[in-house]
Amino acid sequence: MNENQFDIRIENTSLYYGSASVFKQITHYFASKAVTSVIGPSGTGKSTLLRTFNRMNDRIEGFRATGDVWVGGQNIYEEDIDVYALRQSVGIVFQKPCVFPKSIYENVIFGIKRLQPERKKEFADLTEQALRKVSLWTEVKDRLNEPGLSLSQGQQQRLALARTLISKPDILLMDEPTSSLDPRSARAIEDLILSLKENHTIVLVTHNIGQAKRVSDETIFVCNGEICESGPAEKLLENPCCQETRDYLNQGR
Amino acid sequence: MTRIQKEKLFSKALGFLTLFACSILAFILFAVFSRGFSAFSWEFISSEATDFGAQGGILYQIFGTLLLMFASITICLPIALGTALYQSEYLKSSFFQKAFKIFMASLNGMPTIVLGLAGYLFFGKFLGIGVSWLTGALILAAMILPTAHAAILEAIETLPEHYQETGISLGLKPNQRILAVVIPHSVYGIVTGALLGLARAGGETAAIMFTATAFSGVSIPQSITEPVATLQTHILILAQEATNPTALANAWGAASVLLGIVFFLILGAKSVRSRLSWEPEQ
Amino acid sequence: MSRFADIDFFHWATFAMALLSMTLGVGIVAYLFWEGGPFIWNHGAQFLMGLDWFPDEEYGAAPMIFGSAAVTFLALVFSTPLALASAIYTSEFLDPRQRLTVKGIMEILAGVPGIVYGLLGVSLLSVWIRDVFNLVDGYTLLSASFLLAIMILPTIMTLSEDAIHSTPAEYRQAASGLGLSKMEILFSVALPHATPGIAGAILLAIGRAMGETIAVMLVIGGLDRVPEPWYDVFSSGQSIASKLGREAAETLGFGEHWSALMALALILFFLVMFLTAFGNWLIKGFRK
Repeated sequence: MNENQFDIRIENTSLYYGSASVFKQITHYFASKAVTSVIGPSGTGKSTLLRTFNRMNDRIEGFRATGDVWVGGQNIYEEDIDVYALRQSVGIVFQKPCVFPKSIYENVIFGIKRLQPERKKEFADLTEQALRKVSLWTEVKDRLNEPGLSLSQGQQQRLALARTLISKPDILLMDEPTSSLDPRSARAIEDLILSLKENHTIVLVTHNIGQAKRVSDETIFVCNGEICESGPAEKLLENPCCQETRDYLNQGR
Repeated sequence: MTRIQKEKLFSKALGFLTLFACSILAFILFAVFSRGFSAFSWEFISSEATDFGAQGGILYQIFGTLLLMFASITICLPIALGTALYQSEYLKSSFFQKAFKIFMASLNGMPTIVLGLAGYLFFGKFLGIGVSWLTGALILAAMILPTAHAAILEAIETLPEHYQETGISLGLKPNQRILAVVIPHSVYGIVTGALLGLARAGGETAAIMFTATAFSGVSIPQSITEPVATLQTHILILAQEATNPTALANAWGAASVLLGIVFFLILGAKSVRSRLSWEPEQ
Repeated sequence: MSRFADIDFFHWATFAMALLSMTLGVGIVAYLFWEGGPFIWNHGAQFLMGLDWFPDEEYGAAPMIFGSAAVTFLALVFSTPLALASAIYTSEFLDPRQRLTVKGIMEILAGVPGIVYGLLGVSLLSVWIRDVFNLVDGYTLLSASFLLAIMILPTIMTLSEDAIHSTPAEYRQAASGLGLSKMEILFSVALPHATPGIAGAILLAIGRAMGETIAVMLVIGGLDRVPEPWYDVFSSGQSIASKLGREAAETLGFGEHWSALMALALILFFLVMFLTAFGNWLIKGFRK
């Protein structure tokens, strides 16, 4: 086991789309086994930053990252990185729950069915564990063969989380995971985040300042292509020292 | 005349013309099926042609048409699917993307007689397969390639990005992602493309008339280098004997069967396209 | 993980298929050049302008080129007004379900095999034309044009309808907000927006009409002569495609006769490719 498996560190990292830079020379050490929320105005590249950590941006034409991006003890933009293994150990949950038009069970095992076919016998157990972790088990255990799309949006988001958790990632990336959910389902996801941080490093992009306060340990504020400010969530959100942060937080009030 | 009256008159006139355009189909169906009906019987479709097609049935013609259709789609589908997948999943260069699009559009517009001649020279003479059903199937495969390719590519391209991203985020490799996400979601495109391709192949005459078929004395081919009889060429020959009433009756019968097969496939494609696209409303 | 497992089978398999289909297309074109090019090069104007075609003596393509142009032009004259009228009505005056029904009918009409049109042409249309116009026989340029008109109707109708229907809703709203009626919106907003698409549809239809072989071959009469006078649509004629359909079998792959036919095929190929490419460009450029 790698002792750095929970680490995310970026050092002098710049991100570009073609010739336009999204982030310039940013450096940050993310707290291990804790929740770091990323806040900032729309269009500042919060999602781009998040997707850098599991190289989801590779598909986008013209995307480039320079500097060092250390994730789980590897400098992930180096050449001989197994990007597929990386993505298994770094899970991501998107804004809109993405459920395939298949059964609930098939949705949960969607990844491992293809990545670890040799463990086929364990799938049923793993599914139960994953669904229990996201507290969906009691709700769906009797209808695992029903279509995943029959679930509510909130349940679908938890299903998507279970699908990610089943391959036991150490790091979880969450891109506004509650923004398309009703308040109650959003609360359920927040509770999950709190229970998951014991064993995972979590990076959460959110527009919801209240949510950032409720769930995060650390917060970073990004603006104008740089990290303006970072620190303990409580302090940054209550008493920011940077003018941009203050303006942004005041808008929300 | 007021504006409102003018508009009413205008739309009535257009509506009448539209009705007329649509009734052309009804006329064709009526003209073919009403005449084909008299020739049609179980015996007609289950016995072989005699007296150079003027008498007897069209058993081997039906067989030949079906053989060419299915052989050509079997050859065509892997190529169409492979090309579409390569284009959408692997090909990065926008120059080649464009080149593929232009190429497929050109192949689609290529006159079938030209395709038939060039194809015969290549497959029949250069590769030495001769006038045979295999040559015909290869030519038809090239002819329906753009049809199948377009339907498949459309299905792949309309696959919502978030499914692709989820596949990627779980750590699936490109080939696993193709099997797990792209192909299952493109099934309806593949089926639609196959059905439309079959319909086009079944309706084609010019490309196969001197490359794959023989008129008389043909039954079930014993090898890949033998020609077959087909409904299309059967009708072609009989149509030129317009003065012989029994021959003409057989031509209408064969045309009914051919039209039936083609329509069945097109309607099938239409219903598949509307039912199998399983992307739910978001 | 072994290096072998990293090899993406699909990448290579799909690449092979893509390469195969490209090679196929390039091969066919190269072949046509190889067989037909030298003949055009060597005979040039004599071939293109020549009025007579006697195998092994002289090869003049003018009657065929004239025939193709004549039947295509007439087919357009018959087909375009009807196709545009139904496209407009379908897009602007029908509700979504009726619209899909009409388009479905057109799609089916487009699928009717050429040989079935040929049979209808031989045994019905040409007889009617003979009787109505009191001719010796009904195998004329006019008969071929009628058949072609029906065959290209769905092409023009469907693609034009797409073009008209894709007029942005904001434009329509803005126009109707000014108090314009449906008909006025059509002429002031929708049709101008759709013009390139309609032009593209017509070009594709021309390409299709020029390439159609079997139906034309059965009713055009097969006479390699420019009619006298040239506008006599009741005379028999020959199009490039029907010429190929009739004569290619006699000489498959050999001799000067074959080269001359391939030269015709090459001309047809260029005409159709040009029309298709230009038509597609218009349709696409306008969709953006």
